[in-house]
Amino acid sequence: MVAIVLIATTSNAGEVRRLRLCADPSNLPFSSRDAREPGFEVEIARAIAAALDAELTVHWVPTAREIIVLRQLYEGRCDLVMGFPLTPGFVDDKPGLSLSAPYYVMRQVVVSSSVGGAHSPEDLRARVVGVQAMTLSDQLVHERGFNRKVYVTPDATFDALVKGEVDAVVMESPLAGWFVTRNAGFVATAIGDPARDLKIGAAVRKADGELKESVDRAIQQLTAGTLPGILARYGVTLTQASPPAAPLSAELRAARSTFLTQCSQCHGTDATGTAAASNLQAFKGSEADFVRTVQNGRPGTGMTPWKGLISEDDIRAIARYIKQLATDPARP
Amino acid sequence: MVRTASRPLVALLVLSSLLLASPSPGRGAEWRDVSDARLVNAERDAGNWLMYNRTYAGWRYSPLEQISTANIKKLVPKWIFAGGTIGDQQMTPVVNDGVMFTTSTALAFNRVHAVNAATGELLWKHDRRIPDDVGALVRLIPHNRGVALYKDKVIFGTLDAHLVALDAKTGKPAWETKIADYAEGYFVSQAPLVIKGKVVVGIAGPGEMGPRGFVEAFDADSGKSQWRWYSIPSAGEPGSETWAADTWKIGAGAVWHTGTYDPATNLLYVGTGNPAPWIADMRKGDNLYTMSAVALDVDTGKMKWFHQYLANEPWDFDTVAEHHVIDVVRNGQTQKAVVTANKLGYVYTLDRITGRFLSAVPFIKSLTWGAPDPVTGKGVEKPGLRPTMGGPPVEVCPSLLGGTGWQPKVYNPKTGFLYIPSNEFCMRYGYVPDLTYKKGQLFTGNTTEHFSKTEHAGVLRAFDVNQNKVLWEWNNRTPLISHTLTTAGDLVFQGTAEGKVVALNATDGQELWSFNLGTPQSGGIISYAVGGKQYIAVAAGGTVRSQVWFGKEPKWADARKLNFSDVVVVFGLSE
Repeated sequence: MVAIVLIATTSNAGEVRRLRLCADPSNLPFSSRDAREPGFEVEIARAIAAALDAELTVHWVPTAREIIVLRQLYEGRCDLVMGFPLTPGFVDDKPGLSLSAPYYVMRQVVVSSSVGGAHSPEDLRARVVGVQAMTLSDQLVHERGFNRKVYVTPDATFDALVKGEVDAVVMESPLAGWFVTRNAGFVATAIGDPARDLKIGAAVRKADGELKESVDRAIQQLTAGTLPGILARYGVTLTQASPPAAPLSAELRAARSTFLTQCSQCHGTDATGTAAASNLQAFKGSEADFVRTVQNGRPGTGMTPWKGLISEDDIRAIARYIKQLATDPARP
Repeated sequence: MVRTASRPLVALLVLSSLLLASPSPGRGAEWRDVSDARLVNAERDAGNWLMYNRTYAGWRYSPLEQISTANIKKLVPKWIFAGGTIGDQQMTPVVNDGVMFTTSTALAFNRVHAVNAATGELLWKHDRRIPDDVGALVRLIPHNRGVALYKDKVIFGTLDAHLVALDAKTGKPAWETKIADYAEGYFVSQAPLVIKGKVVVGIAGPGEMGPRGFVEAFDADSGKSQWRWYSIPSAGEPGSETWAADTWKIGAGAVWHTGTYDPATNLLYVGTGNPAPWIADMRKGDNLYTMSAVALDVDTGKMKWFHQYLANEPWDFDTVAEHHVIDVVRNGQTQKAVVTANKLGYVYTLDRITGRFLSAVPFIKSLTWGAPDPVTGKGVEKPGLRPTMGGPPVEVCPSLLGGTGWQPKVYNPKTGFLYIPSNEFCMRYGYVPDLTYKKGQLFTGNTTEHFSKTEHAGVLRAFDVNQNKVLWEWNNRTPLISHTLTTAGDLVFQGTAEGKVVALNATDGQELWSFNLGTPQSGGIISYAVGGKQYIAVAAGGTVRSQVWFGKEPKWADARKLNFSDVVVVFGLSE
């Protein structure tokens, strides 16, 4: 066990050692004053503090402008600020700043409708792509020549997606993952370009060299245990954890096509039902029951008999496709 | 309020003579053949309702005035006739000298009844069995909008795309003609229209199942085909350049609504439906002659003119609504026009001789798709309202049921008002990511959720065709997927999905009378006279499909809880 010395914490003899974090009171998924959902950066800072055998206190400060939050750090109102990119040159003009080891990798992510949305940069061709202005995603979408629509905030960008103003959004992974965990019907897919990845670390005063080393060691320890859980809970690693979706079998692809063409107008593209048509993902009976219902319809309702129009084999394939939808909604 | 010269007076005089001459009703009465002359003069045949829209002009105006604003409170039910189906009653009865002909339709059969129009006594019925392998849309909306009468025949189209003539006195089959192969998705829902000895019928099915739409004329005595006009030109014909590659072969343009006719121009006016599939990018080009008003020479079927309302249409806003033959007075000048209020949410006026666009005025508030160009009348879309395949849904108003759809608009020459049962609805509308054509299956490629943003989803609007504006509105909570009638008694009758039929003052829209039918009003409302007494007949029973369309829309709740049962309820004055 490595001895930990916390130079920067208040460390008068007999007192509890404290690690003071500067964080934004309202910037989920990164940080929030709400103790029930404090944000992944606050939780990681707390885990770091725990590893340092210190108590985390938070100095709440808006982080929208980097200079304001860094001044808090320089002037000693806090010891740690989360969320800085470890890109070469970033600290060159900040001589008082030192950055820790990375605690996660920020990726560029495509967010789109789970059914038939855009799931790769290639899918973005001929679609309208929403981005937050002056961000790396903005730059990426601009460089690739996609049809780009620019918004001021992440919220406005995602609102545009929900309202259908744009077909897809390209956004940094924490915001994308956070959105997807809270909005059914959308999936996030990493753009898969390592050159666009950004390693993210925490900032300390350069003068606190020992603190930096302690934080680095804590992050190293946490990487194997606590960190992935925190990141996953906030959706930050949503796209990174799941392997690229395996393509549907030819049979299920054909079933999807029939389902979308013949059934989805009433039952919805995800088969969860619309208006008066029932949720097929919640169909209680056996596959044989499903076949019978589709073939014979439900008299007196909008469900008409499909016997002769869709073969029994195709109906069975549709049943399996819907089952697949129910277990893996991200892969329609 | 009289804006059209002297017509009511003429009608009144004719009515009086007819009422005196009208025969005793029903069984045993002498059948009077429905000749070409009677059809041309149907407007003056006050006691009868000889064709779908009563007259070739498509007004649904009854010149009868025994029932009026003065005595409407005394209107009571006289008899009820049950057709024996559930689900879809969109039929308008016709009446010839005391005999009413109605249809009741289900997936398994097309049924026609002859009923004593004074007593409701069933005179005969004919069931035509329908094979169980008809196309997908037929299965979803098996319906029929009524029959045509010619000489001693009752003529109707079937769910398996046949044209059938029955002996009007006995119900025995007289002749039968296969119009098209139902396996392709063709069927007939409209009431045929007989003009100059020809049965004119437009085809349904293409709008959802793909094949080319058409209008066809058949000899009314033998059922032999006379001409067929396709709503999509085939390769090499003028207009075919508006279809990419082979898309014209499955490009739809159904003509599923009964047309109108002007004997003076000898032109049949029909509206054509949307192109297929509904995914516009799959059929690049203007897609002529879908989404158009079309004037056809009734003798030859040759197109005299067309006006396309919206090119490369992406939302299923078919423009099949009837084109009323009206002489409008604009800026002091009488203009021979056709006037149509359609799904696009505008009242269009066209020159009925040349097809020249004259005006378009919106009649609904939930209207975001765009607007007709004020000079050319061609639709100009608001950008960004077309979904992409597999992309998120877009919000568009109106919904694909349109500002007004198949529900007839009615014109009263005394008030000069076109009464438009209209809907304030929007939709979230998307395209599926993947669509392939298969014969007889749905070929639309859409996902749709209908919703209403206004307090009243149904609004009956009185539109002054001369001033070109809405003068009054009557509000209803549910959408008006139901019928309207106007009469010389200064009345407008309007049905509702809540199962009511109400009578309004035609001049100011004041509600005067209401009756609970117990099932959604959805079929025709007509007026006729037998034995000197005026009747109002109301066909009801609902459209089951509307349960799917409106499903969870809160404003639909009062309609959803009702049972959908097919009836004709006939009203007369209490004695």
